[in-house]
Amino acid sequence: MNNPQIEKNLLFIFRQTPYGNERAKEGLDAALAAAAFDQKVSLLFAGDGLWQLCSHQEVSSTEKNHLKKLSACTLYGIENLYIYNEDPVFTDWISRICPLNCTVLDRHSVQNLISKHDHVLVY
Amino acid sequence: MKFTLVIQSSPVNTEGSLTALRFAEALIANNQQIYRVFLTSDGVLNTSALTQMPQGENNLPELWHKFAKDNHIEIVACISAALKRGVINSAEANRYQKESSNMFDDTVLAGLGEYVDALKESDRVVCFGV
Repeated sequence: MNNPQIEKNLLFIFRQTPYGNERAKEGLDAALAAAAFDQKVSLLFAGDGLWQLCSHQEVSSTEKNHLKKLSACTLYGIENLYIYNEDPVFTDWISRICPLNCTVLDRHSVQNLISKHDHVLVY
Repeated sequence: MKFTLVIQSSPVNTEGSLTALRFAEALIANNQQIYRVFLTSDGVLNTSALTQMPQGENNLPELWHKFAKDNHIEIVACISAALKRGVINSAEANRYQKESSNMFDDTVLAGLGEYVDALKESDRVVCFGV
């Protein structure tokens, strides 16, 4: 780390389901690492990424529960979680069953959110 | 301007890695600085020196290796993403008692700290592989 004082606003966008591939897991690892290194991190769940917030995720003993790991975000100082999906019924359902505190955004707010961050990382 | 490229896509199946390489070449041609190329997810396969493509197809690991060498650019692969996909250098192969290794010698295996460092130090970060 050359300049520890540099702090960036980072937006991680999650667009994939929690278990079909490694994306969600690796993206969350990156987001938590960034937060652990004192960067300002926000998370946006979009498209199929909303499934990561679904409650009652049942996994086998050889897998890790993604939602449980997501719940650690606040411990890492990640307070801002956002949801965006074109389907209002799906969005409403996820926001009601998700145990984490998330803000539902419309398309215009997503544009604002992206523009106010230094870097956007898509997973 | 200082750029970091994050490559998440495999050298086969998807266009992400080739697009990233073309973008990197364009940056150099336009006198921009590449701070780091970070390989993560399936992107780590871009550093497997054992990749052999059919005749007439792009061998992206070799193309990236040559590009990095010619332009003195650091390619860093995420260590956890690499090891679980069977991409390993000789030091890690020794440590885990594997029979062989397959990474290009000058590619660095590192943790997410190097990734965060690149995010901090760069003016622009561009992800390839969605």
